[in-house]
Amino acid sequence: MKVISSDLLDYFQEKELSAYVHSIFCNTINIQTDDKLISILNNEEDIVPMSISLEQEDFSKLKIKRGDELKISNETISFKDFEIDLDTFLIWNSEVEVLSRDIYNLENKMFLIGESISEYGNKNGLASLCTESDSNLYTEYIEEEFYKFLTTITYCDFKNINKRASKLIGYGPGLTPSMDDLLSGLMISLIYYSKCYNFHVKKIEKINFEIIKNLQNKTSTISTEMLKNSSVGKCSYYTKRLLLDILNDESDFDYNVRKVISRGSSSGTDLLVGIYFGLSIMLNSDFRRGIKNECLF
Amino acid sequence: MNVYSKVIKNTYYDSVVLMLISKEIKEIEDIENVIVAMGTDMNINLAKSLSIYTEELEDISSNDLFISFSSKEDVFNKVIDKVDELLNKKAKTANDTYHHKTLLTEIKNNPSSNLVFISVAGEYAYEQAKIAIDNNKNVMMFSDNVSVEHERKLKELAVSKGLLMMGPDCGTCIINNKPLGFSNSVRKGPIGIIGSSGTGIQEVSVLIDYLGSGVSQVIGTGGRDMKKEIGGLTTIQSLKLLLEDKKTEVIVIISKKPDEEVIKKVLALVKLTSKKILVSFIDSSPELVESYNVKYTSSLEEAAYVAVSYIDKNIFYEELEYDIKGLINDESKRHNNNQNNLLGLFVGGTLATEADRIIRKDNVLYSNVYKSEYFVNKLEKNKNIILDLGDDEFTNGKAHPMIDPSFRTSLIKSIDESVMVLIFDIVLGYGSHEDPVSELLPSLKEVMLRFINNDSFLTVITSICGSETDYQDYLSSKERLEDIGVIVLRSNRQVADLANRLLNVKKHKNLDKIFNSDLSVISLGIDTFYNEMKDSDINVSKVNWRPTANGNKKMRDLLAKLKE
Repeated sequence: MKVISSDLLDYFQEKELSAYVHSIFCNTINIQTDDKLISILNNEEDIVPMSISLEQEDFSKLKIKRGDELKISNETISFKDFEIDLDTFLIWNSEVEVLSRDIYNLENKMFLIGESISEYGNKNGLASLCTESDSNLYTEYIEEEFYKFLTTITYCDFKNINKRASKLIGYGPGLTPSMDDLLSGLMISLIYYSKCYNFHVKKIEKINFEIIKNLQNKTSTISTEMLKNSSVGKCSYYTKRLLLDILNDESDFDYNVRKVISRGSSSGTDLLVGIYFGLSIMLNSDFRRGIKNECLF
Repeated sequence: MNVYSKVIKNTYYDSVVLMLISKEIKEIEDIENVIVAMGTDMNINLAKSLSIYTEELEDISSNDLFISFSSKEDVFNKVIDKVDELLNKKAKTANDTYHHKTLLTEIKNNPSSNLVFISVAGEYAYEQAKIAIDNNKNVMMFSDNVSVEHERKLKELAVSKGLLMMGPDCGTCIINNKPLGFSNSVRKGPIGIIGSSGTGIQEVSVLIDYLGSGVSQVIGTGGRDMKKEIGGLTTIQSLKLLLEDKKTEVIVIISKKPDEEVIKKVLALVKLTSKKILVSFIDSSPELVESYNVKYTSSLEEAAYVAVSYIDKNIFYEELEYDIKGLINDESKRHNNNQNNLLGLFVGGTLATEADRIIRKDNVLYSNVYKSEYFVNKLEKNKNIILDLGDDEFTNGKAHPMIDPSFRTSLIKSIDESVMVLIFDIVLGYGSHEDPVSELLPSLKEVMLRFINNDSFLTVITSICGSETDYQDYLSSKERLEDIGVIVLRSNRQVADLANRLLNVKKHKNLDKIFNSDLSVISLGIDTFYNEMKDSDINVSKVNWRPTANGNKKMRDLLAKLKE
């Protein structure tokens, strides 16, 4: 089954593009245009914003290498020896969609997420920030700074959000550093949870903007794109399903948690840690009061 | 302390590979702090704080990878060689440890596979089995909680494609002498086994091995296959395969409580074969089976003996009379008057069912094996009880007791003093606990000592369902149990039989007492009888009895209900 994310489809329809291969892995080819990083995934991977999912098997077996040039039109993506035809795709909506919500179970869901991280999560990243598992050298170093950052968010301390966030972005192991995954989870989840309390999403986006302001060169290109997408609530298919489960008390919760955790090495776990902290912030009445207080804006 | 760094510029490796590199480096001796990460400002700060920053890192960018570490010895070249090795074979390394996330992709990347073993949660198992069968793979499904309807659909599909659908709830197979699931190390030989009961299959296969023969194929069908809703689809298909198989001379079919109409369908296939067919069908009619010219055996042990006797004329079955009289005599002397009951704690469902059937013939027995007025699912005083601890009720959210013996050991510790004999099974082999006896010994010792200190005695009898080549060491397991006074017998049938005889002896003793002691009577009713007994010098006392509620039936019934 071939799937394209809606934001990428809109992007392709605007113009013809030149691009080059940024990086290539078994399950992913990343393509860099003038202004966007686009992912071509195989069906093993969870579809994400600005991506296409194919039935192709191991991409590393294709005769494609880093730096190869390619052309993109609204009908095809053309590599030197390989073409992707764009007219027979299903469209996946990468935008935030919340149809109904139930605020009464959020605390329980937070507990369940913590349990899932303890039981299934990869502890090589930042999982021990929210579980009782042993800390590692990454969490030991960053813990204090991270909690200072959380405080600025909780109390809507706009003067200091970016200052604190700058001391976190790009931190940790992984191609997308662990803290970037965590912040992504936090930002996406705040946008989704805001729907529960009928906060205007722009208010949350303003917080998120402060987090990622001056992002350039602070982290890898792939991670930069991820953070930008996350700041406006765009996330992968399974992350979206999980967030909807949290809001609607659906029965696929366990399945979706495991799918999120299975991403990358510790990326999925770190993202889930971010979702956990997003919940802890949203459940804090000081935060909710701060968001409602118009004079902060 | 030596500090080293290496920078790999503008090259991308996925996080799984980076994690592997980090893990491999940490395992090298004398390595202290290690960072394998992207060259972001924050990660460089971390390197500085850990004192593993070197000048190589000065011009690094966020899109570069770096590796920094400290070590006591000069292992730089060793580490860098390791890193280069891992990076150069990154595709292969990633694939070795990177497992495909979908079955379909794995099937496509592994075209020579011919069986899919499914042990995911039941709600997902059907879909995965369908993918496997659609792609022409045989299936063994350990998962349970699959609906009857789904099981039937999968089996019909598999049959139509000439594939085996073994399960759901299939825990034991041996295909081409390779063990799958819970199974034992047994010889290769000419006896094929088809079974809808896991420990039933195990018991028969280990006894066949004990008798010097072996198995050709062991095919599990799943617990419901011989029920009318499924119609024996996999049993029939397996039987057809074994009838054609040149290496199979004898076929044993095992099932717990098979439905009669399915027995007829299955046995109708064997009319024209020259191969020897026998069955071990717990709770079915011997006459029905024998009407198809098929040998009916009344126990798993008998099935093994009969099967081997078809191959080796020197083997014959009789219910072996081990020094039973001596054993019974010794054991029964030690129980006190308050000990009258049996407790059975089984991890194998079929073994529990077989023991239940034997004990229930002569005794009132409560168990969770059958849903009846004698159903019980916990320990209760003053009752004969057998519990199948592998039943869903006990394993919901927990490991099966064959893997985790802790639940059974806790029950053993709480045995009450009305129990006279404890019987249980030990299952060895693949999938089972690595040393089940060592887990049980402390609780057995504790309870046996408690009984002795309270002037009573607990007879403990077990059999070990295992072969002498199973990795848990059959002989050592037997020895350790015997060292603490446990009676270890060769088969589950023998265990249940001995326990049953002990119960019968006790009942007889209780009866016998009246002939060996002075008569002492309580008279209830007519005074004439009381007076006459008194005149005959019989030790007699009288109860001044009146009906409750002065004979008012309605009031009496009400009082009786209150007592309940």
